[in-house]
Amino acid sequence: MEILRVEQLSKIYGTGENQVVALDSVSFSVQRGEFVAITGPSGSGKSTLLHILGGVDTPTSGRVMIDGTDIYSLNENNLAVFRRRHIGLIYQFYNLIPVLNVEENINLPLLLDGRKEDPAYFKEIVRSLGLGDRLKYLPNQLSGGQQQRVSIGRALINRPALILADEPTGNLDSKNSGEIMQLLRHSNETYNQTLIVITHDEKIALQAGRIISIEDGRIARDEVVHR
Amino acid sequence: MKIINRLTLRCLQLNKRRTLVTVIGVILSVTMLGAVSIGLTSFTDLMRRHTITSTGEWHVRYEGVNKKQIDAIRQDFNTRELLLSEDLGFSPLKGSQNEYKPYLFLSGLSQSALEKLPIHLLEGRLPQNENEVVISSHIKTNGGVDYQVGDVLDLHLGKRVWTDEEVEFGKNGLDNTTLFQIDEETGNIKERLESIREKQVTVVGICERTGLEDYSAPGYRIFSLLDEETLSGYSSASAWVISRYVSNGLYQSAEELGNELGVHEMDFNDTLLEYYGVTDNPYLRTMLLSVVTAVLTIIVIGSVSLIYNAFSISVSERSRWLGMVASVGATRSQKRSSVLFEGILIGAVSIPFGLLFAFIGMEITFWCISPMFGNVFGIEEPLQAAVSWETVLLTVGMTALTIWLSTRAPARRASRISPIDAIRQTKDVRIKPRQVRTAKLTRRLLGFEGDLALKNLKRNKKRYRTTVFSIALSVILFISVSSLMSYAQTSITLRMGEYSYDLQLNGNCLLSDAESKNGLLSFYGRAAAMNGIQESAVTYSTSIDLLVPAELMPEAAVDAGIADKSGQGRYLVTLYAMEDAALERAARAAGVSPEAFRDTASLPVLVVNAADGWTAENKRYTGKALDLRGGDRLKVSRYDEQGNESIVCELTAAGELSECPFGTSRMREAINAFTVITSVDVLEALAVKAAPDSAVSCDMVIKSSDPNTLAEELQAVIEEEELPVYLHNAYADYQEEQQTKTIYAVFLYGFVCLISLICAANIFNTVSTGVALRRREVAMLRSVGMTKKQFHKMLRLETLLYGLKGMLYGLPAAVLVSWVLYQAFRSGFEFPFALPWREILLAVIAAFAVVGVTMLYAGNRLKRDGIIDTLRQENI
Repeated sequence: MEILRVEQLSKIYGTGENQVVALDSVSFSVQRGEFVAITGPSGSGKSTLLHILGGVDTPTSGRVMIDGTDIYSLNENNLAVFRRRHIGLIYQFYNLIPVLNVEENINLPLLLDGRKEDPAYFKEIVRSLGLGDRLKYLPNQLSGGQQQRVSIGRALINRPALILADEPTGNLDSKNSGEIMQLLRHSNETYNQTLIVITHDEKIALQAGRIISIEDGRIARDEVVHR
Repeated sequence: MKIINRLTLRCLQLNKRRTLVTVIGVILSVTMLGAVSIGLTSFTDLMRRHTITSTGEWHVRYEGVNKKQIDAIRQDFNTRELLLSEDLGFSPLKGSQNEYKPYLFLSGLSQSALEKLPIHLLEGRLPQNENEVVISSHIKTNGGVDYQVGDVLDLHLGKRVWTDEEVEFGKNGLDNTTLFQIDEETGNIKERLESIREKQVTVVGICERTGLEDYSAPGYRIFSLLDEETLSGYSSASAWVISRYVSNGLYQSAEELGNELGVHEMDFNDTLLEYYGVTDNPYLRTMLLSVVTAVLTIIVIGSVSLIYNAFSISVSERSRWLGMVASVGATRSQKRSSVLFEGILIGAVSIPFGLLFAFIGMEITFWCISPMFGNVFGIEEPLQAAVSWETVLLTVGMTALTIWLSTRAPARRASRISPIDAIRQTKDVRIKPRQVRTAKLTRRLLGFEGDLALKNLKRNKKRYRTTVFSIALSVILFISVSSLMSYAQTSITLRMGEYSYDLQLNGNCLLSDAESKNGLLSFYGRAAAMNGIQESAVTYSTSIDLLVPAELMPEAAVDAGIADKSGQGRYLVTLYAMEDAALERAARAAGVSPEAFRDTASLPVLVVNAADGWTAENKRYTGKALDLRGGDRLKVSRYDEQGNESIVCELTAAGELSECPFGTSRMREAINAFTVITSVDVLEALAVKAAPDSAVSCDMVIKSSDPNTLAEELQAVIEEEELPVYLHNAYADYQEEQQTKTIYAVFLYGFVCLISLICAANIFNTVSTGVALRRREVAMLRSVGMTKKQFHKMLRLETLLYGLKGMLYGLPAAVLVSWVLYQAFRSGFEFPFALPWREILLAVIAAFAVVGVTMLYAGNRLKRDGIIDTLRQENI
């Protein structure tokens, strides 16, 4: 079943001579439960692509269909609501809210949505993230790896159909990297969530079922990984 | 320019908005400091001009000097200008009506003295030679001798000599200070004039009475032009010095010069010197200095607490590049100088504007209040904004001090920023979990957005405190001043409310003396027919003592111990007799037939049954003066000349009124006092029995459409006909009180407005920076799905919480200050405690508006950012 379809997506910055084409008519689709790695050199447009998929940046042209919804046909308000209900975004620099503690940061999308958490699910996430004894800590009291786990918790708490991660391990050492990837794969496999990860790390890319390589704003290769 | 300063300048240019707000804040405080010092200079300037008008422009006077000494004084380095005068002698004033002022006293004045001494011409011109004189209008108004311009006077100049000892008076007999010598008992004159010479002079001008002679001086001064070459050699010349440098050393240096030249008699223009801040009274100088210092200190403290904040924000925003320059080798003092340089730049921009605004502001203020000011303080000279180099220096100095104090701490913090801080990007304030803990109730009441809003406020204590303090301070000041004004108004209204009239003519007469009585009545009759009279009433009034039995007293009077052992109490009663028409109105109001007051045998009166005062238990009483049962008899008591008390007659209480009719009043603050009203016939009958020969007041009260004009006209009649009537202009009193209040209001509200503006600038700076620093967080919140509505709700709740916290401190403090002010005002008059609700509402709305607008502004700036741009920018 198709969870994501991208049609003729373009993003152009600037005009005239200063014009930079970040994405050039990109089209592809992703099935539910897939684990896709997006790779490519710096400035190839992969982060732009991911942000547009996540509904936090706007395309110049083209469509993004998530679960049958054309997300850029939504108004700003509905797009915000759509984001917190259907998409989990993980950034390289965690971006936690400094005044909220770990528990609140994880529950942020629910709190914004005015919904109650599911205690069993929350417990499970916290346990698998290994943050059980850090729930009342503020972000600035955590290590980088712990902060990234909180941001993963935040992305997972809504059981989104689509998890987008922008170099989630780019700031971490290899031990923490391994653990984080294991967590993501675990939720991908256990809950049949779709996972799209941007990475520079070949080892991580090879864990995915499919690798899309982007160069100069276009899809250079789109290959299935055979194990 | 040094690289570090260039960086600072660029940083200020980048943060245009914040720099502008800081500059506005500093401008406001310069304006305030400037306004105080310009105000001080202007008032001093006004008082100097006022003093010069009455005493003349001079600082030191050397008396009894000869030509040689005059030349020496003129050569003295501190003499800017020298005025000369010489007393030439007394001459009998024929026809003087004032027996203590039988002389003219001729003085010659040099040209400059004629100009600088207080000779204010009413008509004619100043004398141009020694045979022309200008005389004082006083000679006519006080002495009753009417000389005109053009009259030629034959003066028989002489000096004063004691008749019994044949000794001349002081100053070689030219002493115009010692009283004219008349023996009080015999009426014999004990002095004469010894002739010096004859002189014929022409009157060329008439001036106002000068401030140069005492009211008791025996001679009216007249002035001719003094030719310096012809100084008479009597050593009766005076040298009046206008000093070059007016400083505290003046007294000493003048005395030293006097000693050196052998001049021992000298005088100082103390009043004028005081307004130059020069006084030989150290106590006065200390007091002046301490008042000014106190006001300036308050402003500096206020400004420092606010400007300091602006620099703190600036430093924390700059910490990253400060760390970077530190990593490539900037020293501590270089980092510190970056903040100091910012202070200098901001000061350089703000000070000229602040001074300009202060000057314009004071000019406008003075222009508005000058007429009132003159009226209230009896000064004719206009109030003008004056600036001296001391003013400018003082303001610049105080501002520099303010800025320096404000930059000290931020500069120290800047100097401590290390490279690693910049690399780690640690915030200068670290949050602890306890700090942002909120109650569960918050989330339930205000929702998640409210909880987040409260945590946002709590994250930076200093910013939170500054904002709350600014809100509270403005609210306290504004409400307190409003209360002050409202209480002042109430007490003015209460005090003036006692006067139901605009003007009162006060006369005294004996009822038995028909001539004086009719004289007054005929004047009152004419007055009643003058223009602009709306209502008038003529009353006779006198005070009598009544002995009232305890059973007629209200409980409060018994409690207050009015009744003595015999079961009677003494009451002080004001008795008014009114003319028929007014009495008839009062009688009808009381439900009594006016005819009743023709019965002079039973002495019927209407009782104005109201009293107020304090009981023995210190309880307030406002209510009836007597418990009348109808037809009660009231005993009139009187002490005879031997001091024996007797009951002379009894009044009959024919009816009662609750309020004083027009033209009458009652005594306040006494339980055992009230007013009664009756007919003129009854008063006359009573006077025969009680006090056959005592005088009564015969007054007329007037309500007018134009009281001041009417008062002038009446006063003119009174003076012209020399009537024994005193005119009380209650309306002018009221106006004057109002104007005094307005003057205070202008300054107090001006001060409050400026402080509030500084607070507003500060709130704007703090809150908008607080929001701007959260850009990345807001982008993050939006990326995980915070809607626009939720974002605005969060900002609105932050506003609400700031405002509420400000009110939490501000309102109780304001009420407390109001209560203290109320206590001060009610000592004179009893009125219930009330708060100026309208102003409180205004203050609350304004406080919320300032925070709200700032939030809206800051929020809108954030909303325009793209989520990803923000997240990315902050990461790099």
